[in-house]
Amino acid sequence: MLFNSPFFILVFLPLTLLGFFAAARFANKEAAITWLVVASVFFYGWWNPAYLVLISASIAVNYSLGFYIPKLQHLTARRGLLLTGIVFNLGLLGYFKYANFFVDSVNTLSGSDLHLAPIILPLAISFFTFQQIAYLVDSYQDAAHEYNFLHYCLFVTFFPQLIAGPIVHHKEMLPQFEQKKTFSPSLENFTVGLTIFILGLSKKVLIADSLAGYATPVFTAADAGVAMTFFEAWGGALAYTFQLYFDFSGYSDMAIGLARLFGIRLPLNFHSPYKALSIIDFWRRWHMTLSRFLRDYIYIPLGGSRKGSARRYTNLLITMLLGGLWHGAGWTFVIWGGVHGAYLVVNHFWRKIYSAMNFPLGRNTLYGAIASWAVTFVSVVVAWVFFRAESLEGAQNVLMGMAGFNGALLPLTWVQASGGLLAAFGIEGSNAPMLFNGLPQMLWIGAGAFIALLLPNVQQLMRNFKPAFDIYPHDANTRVVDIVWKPNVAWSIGISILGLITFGYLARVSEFLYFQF
Amino acid sequence: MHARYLKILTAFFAIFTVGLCGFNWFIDPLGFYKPPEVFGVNFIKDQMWKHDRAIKAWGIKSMEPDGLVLGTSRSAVGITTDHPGWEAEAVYNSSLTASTMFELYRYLQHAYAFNDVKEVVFGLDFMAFNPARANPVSFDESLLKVDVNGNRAPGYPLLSEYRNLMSIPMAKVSLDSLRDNRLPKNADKDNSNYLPNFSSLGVMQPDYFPRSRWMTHRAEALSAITSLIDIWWAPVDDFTLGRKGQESKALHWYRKILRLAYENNTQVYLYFTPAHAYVYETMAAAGLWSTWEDWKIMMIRINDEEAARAGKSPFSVHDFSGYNAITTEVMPELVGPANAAVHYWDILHFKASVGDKVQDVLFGLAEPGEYFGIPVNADNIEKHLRGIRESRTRYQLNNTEEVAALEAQLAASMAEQPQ
Repeated sequence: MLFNSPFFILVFLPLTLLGFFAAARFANKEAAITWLVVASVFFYGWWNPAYLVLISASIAVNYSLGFYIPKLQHLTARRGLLLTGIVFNLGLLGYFKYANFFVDSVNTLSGSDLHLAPIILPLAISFFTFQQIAYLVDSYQDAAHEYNFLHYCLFVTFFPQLIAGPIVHHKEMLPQFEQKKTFSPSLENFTVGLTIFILGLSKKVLIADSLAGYATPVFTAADAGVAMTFFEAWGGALAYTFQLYFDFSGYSDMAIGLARLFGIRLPLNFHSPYKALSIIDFWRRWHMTLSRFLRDYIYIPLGGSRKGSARRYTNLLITMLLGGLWHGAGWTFVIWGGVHGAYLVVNHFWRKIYSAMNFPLGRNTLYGAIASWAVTFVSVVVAWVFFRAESLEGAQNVLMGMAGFNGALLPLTWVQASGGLLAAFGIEGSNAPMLFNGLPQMLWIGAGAFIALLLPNVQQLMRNFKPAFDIYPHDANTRVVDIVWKPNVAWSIGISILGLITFGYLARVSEFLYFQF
Repeated sequence: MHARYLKILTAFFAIFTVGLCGFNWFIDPLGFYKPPEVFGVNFIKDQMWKHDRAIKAWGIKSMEPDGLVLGTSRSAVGITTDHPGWEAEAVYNSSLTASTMFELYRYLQHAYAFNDVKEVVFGLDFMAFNPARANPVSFDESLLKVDVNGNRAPGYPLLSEYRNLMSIPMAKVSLDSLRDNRLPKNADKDNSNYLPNFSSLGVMQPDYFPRSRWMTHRAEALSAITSLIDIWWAPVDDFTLGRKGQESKALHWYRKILRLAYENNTQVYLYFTPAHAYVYETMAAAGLWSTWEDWKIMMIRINDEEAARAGKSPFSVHDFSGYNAITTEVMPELVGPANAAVHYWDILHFKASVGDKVQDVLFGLAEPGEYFGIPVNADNIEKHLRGIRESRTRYQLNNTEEVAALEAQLAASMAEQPQ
């Protein structure tokens, strides 16, 4: 079920919390964990009970492998078992997620007419597969051991992080369930958890879903072959840029808030990515637990930066191409990953020559910082076009529009009111309907930009109560307006009003974007 | 500190939830909850028209029909469900305003989730195949019992109409409905002016249009053609049925609708809807005539392909579009009860009297008229299209004044298009 559904909020969550603490109070902690696993399995099976077969099989196999890997003395045997586990997980992912894509690609390239029955993509398979691969590697490296099957089930299925992350390490979560205080209800955990959950929910429901109304028609039309004009294309791309951020970071906030209700802290997944001053910085702020996985389990095993620049750049490209493919079985995702790989190569190369020339890094100055931010942000927006478009033709239509190849149209009244100013820039006026919605769209994008660029993020806002693990070191000076949450009356009323408005807009339940990955 | 914070949060939520739910329940603007009826407060339900996605999903759930009308607003307005030709016992008009093929597919799935649908009258409108048309914001798949793969949607029916009780957007609809109910002091509930415009299941009554202000006359009909170019077929240069050998999404979902019907042994009556001749003249001026013809051929071809795939005879397809005695009706100069158009509410929406003639032909109770309800198939479609072209020429020669006015309006409209 969705975090933003009334059933989840009004029925599932209160019952699960009640059951968890009641079991701990009147029975023992194993009973509480059992209850949490049962609730999480119910949560996952709510979408489609058939999914449970696959996740159960995946858990059983990975638990067994993780059980035996540390017990084996012989390195070759351990490696063999690890390899078996990785092949099993990737095989599962390959079949359910990529088989149709592979067949379609072969058909396109060879002109053949191979056919595969439609395969339904099980929910969250990308997330729970990666989490378990990380666990197997950690077991192999003696960094994680779990011999209790129930605990292992909780590690994989804990409902706040099961569907779309954050992707957690065993050693980050399970030790918290060993602590006695986790099993006693805490007023502080409830206030902090509920506040984070409401903030995340409002990001999704109020901002992301509103921006979707401007982004979706543009990409739908572009995919249908409609040529986009300049403002339509930029309006759609920017709306999507902020929609995706508020959608996914809102989801991650909700996950962190929900876990906190149970006294559990999860790793941070977003740290104001659009404030990044370089692409390297962006990837330390965007979907941080995935970038950590890609770094630790693909980039570094490939050799990382240890084998010279050329090899480093190749490794970056391979890592990002695979990262792109992880997001979806389509060439647009592969290209998106490739584009970011290329960005990272350019970024690393630029840093190298800049340091060699012994110049101070330009972003330490105000103008340098603004220029660095602008280049980074525009590069990210351009890459999102590939990510959002459902076809290469759609992406091309939007990008051509953004580059101004299809002209620039604004409402006729605007052009007339500008007294020739807009016309001097080649902007034409038209009364015909367009996919740029003028002032309302600009206001929504502006609001998104203001919140994402100038306000502290949820982690910073709640920093006195340590809501999540920060897995990368970050500058403290990236927030412009400094606000800190306190459990006082003013904040309580403010969060209540925000929560009420958000709750009142829940009626239109829309899925989170990252569920499709 | 934390305890007080939680108390305030809880109190706010409790008050808000009770207040909002109570208000939406009592006003009940979409007729879901059936509270006590109070004339002047919650009696009139005209907001149903703007919320047909929610209403029709709920109507299907409530009625569990075994007969269905599918299509756009033309079918919603013009096709009645009490025609004697239906063999189905419970017929529901699930047509949706400005619908896409995907929406219709999903509503058909929704209907199958409740009952075996025996018969479907499916109105085919060219505008629904415009590739630039997206599903409207009001289309909400979580109101439907099954997902796109046909599996039961998680949470249904808990997440259907009841969740609207707690909705701020629904409170806005309730407020609008309250305004609709603001009547003169001496208003009498039994006065025919206050007859319900919609059935209890949200289907428009046949006489809704005349009682609203939607009655067409010539000047209005002429100005309405602009909307065809600016909205319904826009952007006309990009109106295609597919690219690079691939069917457009609309064609894909049309195919899926037919496939679903063949698999479920449903009898589908396909027909091209009869718009007014002004629409076809506009189509020609916009350069869409050949696309329109190709579209008809495609509709028939896909029907044949899906029939062959299912090993069954193709569904019948009848063409009511083009130039015939109905569609070439001369628009009255002025509007009024005495001189209203006979067949049309506006150039797109035909009246129920025309809809009854359409159903007479579809159900085999009457013979087709001249270019009205011709059965078309792969063998005769080319000849039929040639016939429509010829009838167009005759129409233009016989209605020179009207065609000139139309051309002037079209020229003005096309001049406003961005180059």
